[in-house]
Amino acid sequence: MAIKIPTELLDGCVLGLLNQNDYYGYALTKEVQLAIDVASSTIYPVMRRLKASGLVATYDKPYNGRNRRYYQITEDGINRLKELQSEWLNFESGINQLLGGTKE
Amino acid sequence: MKGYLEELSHMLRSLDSADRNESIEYYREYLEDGHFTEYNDCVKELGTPRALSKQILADHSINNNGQDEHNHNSNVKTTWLIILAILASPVALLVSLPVLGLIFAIIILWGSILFAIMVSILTMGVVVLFTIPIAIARLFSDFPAGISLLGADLLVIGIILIAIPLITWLTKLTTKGIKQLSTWLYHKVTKHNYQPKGADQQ
Repeated sequence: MAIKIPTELLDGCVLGLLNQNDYYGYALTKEVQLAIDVASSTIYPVMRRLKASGLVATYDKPYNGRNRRYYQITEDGINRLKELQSEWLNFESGINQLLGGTKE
Repeated sequence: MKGYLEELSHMLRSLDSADRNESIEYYREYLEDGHFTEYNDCVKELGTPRALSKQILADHSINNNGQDEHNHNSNVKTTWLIILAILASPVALLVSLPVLGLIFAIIILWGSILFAIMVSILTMGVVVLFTIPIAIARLFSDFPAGISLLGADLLVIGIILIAIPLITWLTKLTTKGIKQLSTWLYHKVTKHNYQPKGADQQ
Protein backbone atom coordinates (compact mmCIF):
# COMPACT_ATOMS: atom_id res chain seq x y z
CA MET A 1 0.00 0.00 0.00
CA ALA A 2 1.37 3.38 -1.01
CA ILE A 3 -0.15 5.32 1.91
CA LYS A 4 1.47 4.99 5.34
CA ILE A 5 -0.81 4.94 8.36
CA PRO A 6 0.05 7.40 11.14
CA THR A 7 0.09 6.22 14.76
CA GLU A 8 -3.04 8.16 15.77
CA LEU A 9 -5.09 6.56 13.01
CA LEU A 10 -3.87 3.06 13.86
CA ASP A 11 -4.85 3.71 17.51
CA GLY A 12 -8.23 4.86 16.25
CA CYS A 13 -8.72 1.76 14.05
CA VAL A 14 -7.99 -0.56 16.99
CA LEU A 15 -10.27 1.44 19.32
CA GLY A 16 -13.01 1.31 16.68
CA LEU A 17 -12.80 -2.49 16.53
CA LEU A 18 -12.75 -2.82 20.31
CA ASN A 19 -15.80 -0.59 20.53
CA GLN A 20 -17.72 -3.37 18.73
CA ASN A 21 -16.25 -6.37 20.49
CA ASP A 22 -13.52 -7.51 22.87
CA TYR A 23 -10.65 -9.12 20.98
CA TYR A 24 -7.53 -11.16 21.74
CA GLY A 25 -4.24 -10.21 20.10
CA TYR A 26 -4.24 -12.57 17.13
CA ALA A 27 -7.90 -12.04 16.20
CA LEU A 28 -7.49 -8.28 16.53
CA THR A 29 -4.42 -8.26 14.29
CA LYS A 30 -6.16 -10.31 11.62
CA GLU A 31 -9.25 -8.11 11.83
CA VAL A 32 -7.13 -4.97 11.28
CA GLN A 33 -5.31 -6.68 8.41
CA LEU A 34 -8.61 -7.48 6.71
CA ALA A 35 -9.12 -3.76 6.23
CA ILE A 36 -5.62 -2.31 5.94
CA ASP A 37 -2.22 -3.64 5.01
CA VAL A 38 0.04 -3.50 8.08
CA ALA A 39 2.74 -5.87 9.35
CA SER A 40 1.60 -8.32 12.06
CA SER A 41 4.22 -6.97 14.42
CA THR A 42 2.82 -3.42 14.42
CA ILE A 43 -0.15 -4.25 16.67
CA TYR A 44 1.72 -5.12 19.87
CA PRO A 45 3.24 -1.64 20.29
CA VAL A 46 -0.21 -0.16 19.65
CA MET A 47 -1.82 -2.29 22.37
CA ARG A 48 0.97 -1.46 24.80
CA ARG A 49 0.52 2.26 24.18
CA LEU A 50 -3.28 2.11 24.45
CA LYS A 51 -3.06 0.12 27.68
CA ALA A 52 -0.44 2.43 29.20
CA SER A 53 -2.62 5.46 28.53
CA GLY A 54 -5.69 3.73 30.00
CA LEU A 55 -7.65 3.61 26.74
CA VAL A 56 -7.98 -0.18 26.87
CA ALA A 57 -8.05 -2.70 29.71
CA THR A 58 -7.18 -6.42 29.60
CA TYR A 59 -8.64 -9.54 31.15
CA ASP A 60 -7.70 -13.21 30.85
CA LYS A 61 -10.08 -15.96 29.82
CA PRO A 62 -9.23 -19.67 29.88
CA TYR A 63 -9.08 -21.30 26.48
CA ASN A 64 -7.88 -24.83 25.67
CA GLY A 65 -6.04 -25.16 28.97
CA ARG A 66 -4.28 -21.83 28.69
CA ASN A 67 -5.16 -18.18 29.07
CA ARG A 68 -6.14 -15.83 26.35
CA ARG A 69 -5.69 -12.13 26.98
CA TYR A 70 -8.63 -10.05 25.81
CA TYR A 71 -8.58 -6.32 25.22
CA GLN A 72 -11.55 -4.20 26.18
CA ILE A 73 -12.16 -0.51 25.50
CA THR A 74 -12.49 1.80 28.55
CA GLU A 75 -14.58 4.97 29.05
CA ASP A 76 -11.48 7.04 28.23
CA GLY A 77 -10.97 4.90 25.15
CA ILE A 78 -14.52 5.56 23.95
CA ASN A 79 -13.99 9.30 24.41
CA ARG A 80 -10.71 9.18 22.54
CA LEU A 81 -12.38 7.22 19.74
CA LYS A 82 -15.05 9.93 19.39
CA GLU A 83 -12.33 12.58 19.20
CA LEU A 84 -10.46 10.65 16.55
CA GLN A 85 -13.64 10.02 14.58
CA SER A 86 -14.45 13.71 14.31
CA GLU A 87 -10.82 14.61 13.56
CA TRP A 88 -10.82 12.00 10.84
CA LEU A 89 -14.06 13.33 9.27
CA ASN A 90 -12.50 16.79 8.99
CA PHE A 91 -9.30 15.39 7.61
CA GLU A 92 -11.11 13.09 5.20
CA SER A 93 -13.28 15.83 3.69
CA GLY A 94 -10.23 18.09 3.35
CA ILE A 95 -8.22 15.41 1.57
CA ASN A 96 -11.16 14.47 -0.65
CA GLN A 97 -11.49 18.05 -1.76
CA LEU A 98 -7.81 18.35 -2.52
CA LEU A 99 -7.52 15.00 -4.23
CA GLY A 100 -10.60 15.65 -6.30
CA GLY A 101 -9.26 19.07 -7.21
CA THR A 102 -12.52 20.72 -6.14
CA LYS A 103 -12.95 23.92 -4.15
CA GLU A 104 -15.98 24.70 -2.02
CA MET B 1 7.53 -21.94 17.89
CA LYS B 2 9.32 -22.74 21.12
CA GLY B 3 12.68 -22.04 19.54
CA TYR B 4 11.42 -18.80 18.06
CA LEU B 5 10.15 -17.55 21.43
CA GLU B 6 13.33 -18.65 23.20
CA GLU B 7 15.39 -16.68 20.73
CA LEU B 8 13.13 -13.67 21.13
CA SER B 9 13.32 -13.90 24.91
CA HIS B 10 17.10 -14.08 24.76
CA MET B 11 17.23 -10.96 22.60
CA LEU B 12 14.94 -9.09 24.96
CA ARG B 13 17.12 -9.84 27.99
CA SER B 14 17.95 -6.16 28.45
CA LEU B 15 14.28 -5.37 29.16
CA ASP B 16 13.11 -5.63 32.74
CA SER B 17 11.47 -8.99 33.39
CA ALA B 18 7.88 -7.69 33.59
CA ASP B 19 8.08 -6.05 30.17
CA ARG B 20 9.87 -9.03 28.71
CA ASN B 21 7.35 -11.54 30.04
CA GLU B 22 4.49 -9.44 28.80
CA SER B 23 5.78 -9.27 25.25
CA ILE B 24 6.78 -12.95 25.21
CA GLU B 25 3.33 -13.93 26.53
CA TYR B 26 1.67 -11.78 23.89
CA TYR B 27 3.60 -13.43 21.09
CA ARG B 28 3.28 -16.95 22.55
CA GLU B 29 -0.47 -16.50 22.56
CA TYR B 30 -0.37 -14.92 19.12
CA LEU B 31 1.57 -17.82 17.58
CA GLU B 32 -0.60 -20.44 19.30
CA ASP B 33 -3.81 -18.76 18.15
CA GLY B 34 -2.52 -18.53 14.60
CA HIS B 35 -1.22 -22.17 14.69
CA PHE B 36 2.28 -21.13 13.71
CA THR B 37 4.10 -24.23 14.89
CA GLU B 38 7.20 -24.31 12.70
CA TYR B 39 10.03 -21.83 13.20
CA ASN B 40 9.81 -20.71 9.57
CA ASP B 41 6.06 -20.07 9.83
CA CYS B 42 6.75 -17.78 12.78
CA VAL B 43 9.39 -15.89 10.80
CA LYS B 44 7.01 -15.54 7.88
CA GLU B 45 4.34 -14.06 10.13
CA LEU B 46 6.37 -11.82 12.45
CA GLY B 47 9.83 -11.47 10.91
CA THR B 48 13.00 -12.89 12.44
CA PRO B 49 13.27 -12.90 16.27
CA ARG B 50 16.07 -10.37 15.88
CA ALA B 51 14.02 -7.91 13.83
CA LEU B 52 11.02 -8.34 16.14
CA SER B 53 13.14 -7.81 19.25
CA LYS B 54 14.66 -4.63 17.80
CA GLN B 55 11.19 -3.27 17.20
CA ILE B 56 10.05 -4.10 20.74
CA LEU B 57 13.20 -2.68 22.35
CA ALA B 58 13.10 0.56 20.38
CA ASP B 59 9.41 0.96 21.19
CA HIS B 60 10.11 0.53 24.92
CA SER B 61 12.93 3.06 24.92
CA ILE B 62 10.82 5.62 23.15
CA ASN B 63 7.77 5.11 25.34
CA ASN B 64 9.86 5.53 28.48
CA ASN B 65 11.27 8.78 27.18
CA GLY B 66 9.52 11.04 29.67
CA GLN B 67 10.82 9.20 32.70
CA ASP B 68 14.51 9.10 32.00
CA GLU B 69 15.17 12.05 29.79
CA HIS B 70 17.92 13.25 32.11
CA ASN B 71 19.57 9.90 32.48
CA HIS B 72 22.85 9.95 30.60
CA ASN B 73 23.26 6.18 30.36
CA SER B 74 19.75 5.63 29.08
CA ASN B 75 20.35 8.32 26.43
CA VAL B 76 23.32 6.37 25.18
CA LYS B 77 21.32 3.12 25.33
CA THR B 78 18.37 4.59 23.47
CA THR B 79 20.64 5.89 20.74
CA TRP B 80 22.18 2.46 20.27
CA LEU B 81 18.84 0.66 20.29
CA ILE B 82 17.45 3.03 17.71
CA ILE B 83 20.51 2.70 15.50
CA LEU B 84 20.25 -1.10 15.77
CA ALA B 85 16.52 -1.00 15.01
CA ILE B 86 17.20 1.09 11.93
CA LEU B 87 20.02 -1.20 10.83
CA ALA B 88 17.64 -4.18 11.13
CA SER B 89 15.34 -2.78 8.48
CA PRO B 90 16.82 -2.38 4.99
CA VAL B 91 14.25 0.18 3.86
CA ALA B 92 14.70 2.37 6.91
CA LEU B 93 18.47 2.03 6.59
CA LEU B 94 18.48 3.51 3.09
CA VAL B 95 16.29 6.42 4.10
CA SER B 96 18.27 7.25 7.21
CA LEU B 97 21.83 6.68 6.00
CA PRO B 98 22.73 10.41 5.77
CA VAL B 99 21.44 11.20 9.27
CA LEU B 100 23.11 8.08 10.67
CA GLY B 101 26.36 9.30 9.14
CA LEU B 102 25.88 12.66 10.82
CA ILE B 103 25.25 10.98 14.19
CA PHE B 104 28.41 8.90 13.85
CA ALA B 105 30.40 12.00 12.82
CA ILE B 106 29.17 13.88 15.91
CA ILE B 107 30.00 10.92 18.18
CA ILE B 108 33.52 10.57 16.74
CA LEU B 109 34.21 14.32 16.76
CA TRP B 110 32.98 14.75 20.30
CA GLY B 111 34.81 11.62 21.42
CA SER B 112 38.15 12.93 20.17
CA ILE B 113 37.66 16.40 21.68
CA LEU B 114 36.70 14.83 24.99
CA PHE B 115 39.71 12.53 24.85
CA ALA B 116 42.07 15.47 24.17
CA ILE B 117 40.63 17.48 27.07
CA MET B 118 40.84 14.52 29.43
CA VAL B 119 44.46 13.83 28.52
CA SER B 120 45.33 17.51 29.17
CA ILE B 121 43.60 17.45 32.55
CA LEU B 122 45.36 14.24 33.48
CA THR B 123 48.72 15.73 32.52
CA MET B 124 48.05 18.89 34.51
CA GLY B 125 46.99 16.75 37.48
CA VAL B 126 50.19 14.71 37.35
CA VAL B 127 52.36 17.85 37.06
CA VAL B 128 50.61 19.43 40.05
CA LEU B 129 51.01 16.25 42.09
CA PHE B 130 54.76 16.28 41.52
CA THR B 131 55.39 20.01 41.92
CA ILE B 132 53.45 20.60 45.17
CA PRO B 133 56.10 18.84 47.35
CA ILE B 134 58.85 20.68 45.43
CA ALA B 135 57.06 24.00 46.01
CA ILE B 136 56.68 23.33 49.72
CA ALA B 137 60.35 22.39 50.02
CA ARG B 138 61.26 25.57 48.12
CA LEU B 139 59.30 27.69 50.63
CA PHE B 140 62.07 27.15 53.16
CA SER B 141 65.06 27.78 50.87
CA ASP B 142 63.72 30.39 48.45
CA PHE B 143 60.42 31.79 49.74
CA PRO B 144 59.35 33.97 46.73
CA ALA B 145 59.99 31.17 44.20
CA GLY B 146 58.29 28.60 46.44
CA ILE B 147 55.18 30.70 47.01
CA SER B 148 54.77 31.51 43.30
CA LEU B 149 55.16 27.84 42.35
CA LEU B 150 52.57 26.92 44.98
CA GLY B 151 50.28 29.65 43.64
CA ALA B 152 50.60 28.25 40.11
CA ASP B 153 49.75 24.76 41.37
CA LEU B 154 46.64 26.04 43.15
CA LEU B 155 45.61 27.87 39.99
CA VAL B 156 45.85 24.65 37.95
CA ILE B 157 43.83 22.74 40.58
CA GLY B 158 41.20 25.47 40.31
CA ILE B 159 41.07 25.13 36.52
CA ILE B 160 40.70 21.35 36.78
CA LEU B 161 37.86 21.71 39.31
CA ILE B 162 36.02 24.08 36.99
CA ALA B 163 36.69 22.01 33.86
CA ILE B 164 35.41 18.66 35.17
CA PRO B 165 31.76 19.63 35.77
CA LEU B 166 31.81 21.65 32.57
CA ILE B 167 32.88 18.60 30.57
CA THR B 168 30.32 16.36 32.26
CA TRP B 169 27.62 18.89 31.51
CA LEU B 170 28.69 19.19 27.87
CA THR B 171 28.80 15.41 27.48
CA LYS B 172 25.28 15.06 28.86
CA LEU B 173 24.07 17.80 26.56
CA THR B 174 25.60 16.09 23.55
CA THR B 175 24.26 12.62 24.35
CA LYS B 176 20.82 14.11 24.91
CA GLY B 177 21.04 15.91 21.59
CA ILE B 178 22.12 12.76 19.78
CA LYS B 179 19.29 10.83 21.41
CA GLN B 180 16.76 13.42 20.32
CA LEU B 181 18.15 13.32 16.82
CA SER B 182 17.92 9.54 16.64
CA THR B 183 14.47 9.45 18.26
CA TRP B 184 13.32 11.93 15.65
CA LEU B 185 14.87 9.72 13.01
CA TYR B 186 13.13 6.64 14.39
CA HIS B 187 9.76 8.39 14.33
CA LYS B 188 10.48 9.58 10.83
CA VAL B 189 11.26 6.15 9.42
CA THR B 190 8.95 3.90 11.43
CA LYS B 191 6.23 5.52 13.53
CA HIS B 192 4.64 7.38 10.68
CA ASN B 193 5.68 4.78 8.27
CA TYR B 194 4.02 1.46 9.01
CA GLN B 195 5.60 -0.82 6.52
CA PRO B 196 3.38 -2.99 4.40
CA LYS B 197 3.35 -6.62 5.39
CA GLY B 198 6.38 -8.40 4.02
CA ALA B 199 8.45 -5.31 3.32
CA ASP B 200 10.61 -5.91 6.39
CA GLN B 201 10.91 -9.63 6.06
CA GLN B 202 13.27 -10.10 3.17
